[in-house]
Amino acid sequence: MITVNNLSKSFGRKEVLHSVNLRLDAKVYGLLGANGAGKTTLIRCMAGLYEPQQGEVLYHNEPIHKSKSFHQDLGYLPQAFGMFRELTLYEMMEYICSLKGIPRSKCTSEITKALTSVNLEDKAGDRIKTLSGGMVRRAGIAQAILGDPKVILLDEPTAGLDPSERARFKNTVSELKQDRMILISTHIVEDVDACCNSVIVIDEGRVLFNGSCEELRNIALNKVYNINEADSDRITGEKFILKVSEMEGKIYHRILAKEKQAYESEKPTLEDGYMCLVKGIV
Amino acid sequence: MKKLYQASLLVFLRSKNLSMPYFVLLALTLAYFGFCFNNYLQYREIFSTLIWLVRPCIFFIVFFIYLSYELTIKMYDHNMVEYLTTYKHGLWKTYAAIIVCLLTIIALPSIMFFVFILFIYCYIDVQYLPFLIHLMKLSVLYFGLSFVTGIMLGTAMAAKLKTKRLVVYSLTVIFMLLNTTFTDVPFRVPYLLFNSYRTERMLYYFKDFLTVVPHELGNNFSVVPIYGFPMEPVRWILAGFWILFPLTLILTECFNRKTKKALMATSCLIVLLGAGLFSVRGSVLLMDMRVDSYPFADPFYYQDRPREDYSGYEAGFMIEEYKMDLTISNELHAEVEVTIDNPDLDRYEFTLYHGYILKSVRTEDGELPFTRQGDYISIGSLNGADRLTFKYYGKSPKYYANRQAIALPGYFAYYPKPGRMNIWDPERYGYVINTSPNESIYTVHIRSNLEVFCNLAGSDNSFHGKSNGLSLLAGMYDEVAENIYAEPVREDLPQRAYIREAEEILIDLFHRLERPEAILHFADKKFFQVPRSFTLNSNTEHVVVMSDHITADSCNNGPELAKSIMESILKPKSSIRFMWEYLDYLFNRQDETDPLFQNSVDLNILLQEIDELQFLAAKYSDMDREKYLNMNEQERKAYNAAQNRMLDTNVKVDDKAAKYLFYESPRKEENLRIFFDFFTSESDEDYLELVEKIVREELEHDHS
Repeated sequence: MITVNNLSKSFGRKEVLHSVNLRLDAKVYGLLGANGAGKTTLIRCMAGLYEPQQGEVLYHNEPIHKSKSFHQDLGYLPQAFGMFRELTLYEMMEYICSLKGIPRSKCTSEITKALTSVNLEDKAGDRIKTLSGGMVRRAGIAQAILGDPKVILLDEPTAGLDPSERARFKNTVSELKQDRMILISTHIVEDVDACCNSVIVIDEGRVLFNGSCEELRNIALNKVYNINEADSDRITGEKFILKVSEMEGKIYHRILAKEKQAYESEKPTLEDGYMCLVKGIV
Repeated sequence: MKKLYQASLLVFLRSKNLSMPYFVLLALTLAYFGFCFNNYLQYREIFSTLIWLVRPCIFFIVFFIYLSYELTIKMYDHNMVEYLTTYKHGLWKTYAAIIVCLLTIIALPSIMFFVFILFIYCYIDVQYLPFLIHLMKLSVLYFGLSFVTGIMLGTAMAAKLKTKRLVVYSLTVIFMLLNTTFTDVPFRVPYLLFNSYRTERMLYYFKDFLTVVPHELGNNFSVVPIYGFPMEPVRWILAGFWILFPLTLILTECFNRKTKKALMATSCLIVLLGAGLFSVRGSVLLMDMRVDSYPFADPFYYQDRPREDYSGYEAGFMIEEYKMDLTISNELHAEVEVTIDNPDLDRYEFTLYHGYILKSVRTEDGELPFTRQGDYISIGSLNGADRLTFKYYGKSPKYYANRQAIALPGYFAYYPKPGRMNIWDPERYGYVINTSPNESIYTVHIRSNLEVFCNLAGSDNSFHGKSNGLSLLAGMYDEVAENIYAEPVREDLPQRAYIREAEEILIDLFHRLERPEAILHFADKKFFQVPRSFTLNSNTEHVVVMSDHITADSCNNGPELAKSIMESILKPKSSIRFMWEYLDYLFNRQDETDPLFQNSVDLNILLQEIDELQFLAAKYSDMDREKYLNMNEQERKAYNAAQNRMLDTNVKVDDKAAKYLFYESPRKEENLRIFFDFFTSESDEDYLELVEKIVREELEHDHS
């Protein structure tokens, strides 16, 4: 569906993306990376907002700037999202329908569908300025999915959402994922674990990993140890303390270790796999 | 698109910081119309009312900059641009909807102004189509396009400067100040510091380019009815520029890649084109405080030049015939063929105002070398040829010729005149009336978008005839009565009856002065009323009588016109004030309520005062700037005191002498005659000597 070929992007002297190559099909992808890793830049390049210095983004094997259907098929939620605060949610959705070229006859049903998906159908008549930050974020998701796009790029969609809203978001993604390519950029690994079939890990502008969640988890296989604080120093070789927790008055360290240890290894999570990649414990 | 437009309008209406001031502005506009209408009812001066109407225009523009910026910036304030850009032409459509919405917002006040102007036109009942067209153009340029400029600038600043409000509003304030006369003082500073007007000229050049309201706020000069409000082609080009240039800036934000580059190139092209067309704007009527403005340009130009006395300069030849091919577009482009009566001279001198750039001088045999020195052209021998063709173009700051109006009086050297003549007389502070004593044959063809009125017979801008000067006038100008040409919009239209009355008064007067040979017959000549502003920087142009026509700045009644004509006949020499007093007594217009009329003049005191005046004048006769600078403080004080004393005494002497000689004296009729001869002669005699001589004679006569 979308192919990213040898994509490089710089801002001044700073090279943010280095020869990124990706092939994305009709699946849900999680784009993981630390702050400043280049997630937003990559997603903006894919949305056609940035012109890369090198390489190209293809949609159905056609450069996106030449593709006639790309903009029609694209749903995009930026990291920072807002709407005209003076309009009601419904009026704003109508505005977006008009911009997206959705036929007037379909507008009402499309808006209702999108608002229902994000649980905002009862807020349709409210002015944007009366909505909470989380609601505006959900309205952003509704805006992105309006018109049934084939490609949905969501840049940190769950930022600012409370746990129930996040759960709702996961359901929404599940409902949408049929025959669509959805790319969710985030640094919240649980969100990826819950919604995505595949994960792309990016660090310092380079793709470190592109595969299934299981494959990413397997990177940390036999490398995760949950041990007592006192035993922590006995870990040999390269290691990284992932988490410090307290259980029944004792302090435990969740450690990623490159070498096999004398302790029993834990079942790895997606976060373990991601951290192994990022910290070079592979 | 309709939905987008409606939504943009809803955003505007629901934004209290935008809609509330807007509706207040509309209400204030209505109240202001009431004020303007009341002003008309009081003074019956349509252009004065229109000036009041135009005055707040810049505030409207600034307000629309605010509205458009604040409406557009909401997109950026609410982080909408990023996702709008991902829709097909999303940002472009959003901008388009906002601009259409803003056009709707400005349409309402624009229509209000248009309707009010139409109402005023109907109310004054002038029924003059060119004036109606002028008013329509005024509505479009001042209350239409300038408002559009406001919204385009506001929107462009939102697109380019985003949320940098401080920068946006600073630029807006600068823009507003540049559209007012606020600049008069700061723009004069470079001159005060460096004694050069070059920087001032450059600053005004920049200001003119940014001027979207040509008759700016604070401008106290009145609008000339023949010309109307400045609406030369360059004003429309600038209005177009200030709409198109911001538009391309906005569009560069909406598109990527090749389209963006193409738009940036277009934007640069528009700047180059705008600046290029602006720099060849040609003749425009500048009426403000700059040194190049028409009231000041020539007085400044001639002030620093050594004055040469060319009165009586013998050209050695006459021009028998002129064949003129004039094109009046942005300025005057002329090809003038002259036939001279004496082709055997070694050297020929012509006068052509320095604002006209001479391209070539040629005879049938080819081009001739010439030298140009200010207003003067020198040519060597013509090798027997008697026809010369001058090709030139250019402008004068005062005597304009462009697509809006033409005011070229026959006494001004806008075409080559034989010999060297002064253009400006600093002593009289006025233009020298250069009319030849001989008539020439003129064949004139003018290419202009205007209907030109000329003293010669003809039609369709082609004229032929004999005269001693060619006057051309056009614009909001018409034949208001038979052979009387004037601005139909002016309240004080000339009438033939007034001209006849003036002639009768002057005939009686010349008989009274026993100078029947001086009698002028002008009652049946063509009469051209020239703009009243002609006399704004000149004391010599109230009335000019030429061989076949008269030009006058006004003709309200016969006695006034007669007095002005008499004034134009007299040569004041160094005694302008005394000449005016003479005219008052000659026309029996002296103010008898003046305290001077309470007692009769003591001739002995008068003679003492004349002596004192002559003594002081002789004492400082060789004073110049260098000597003044070399004086010590005490000497300067003494000199300044003497100057003040001279001024006071001069006024007293003029008043007393005129009252005695032309009012009290038993020989007052003879005195009037003596001074008529004095003022019409070429004599260099000092008038005070003549006054003294007559007074002494009368005293002696009394004693005997």
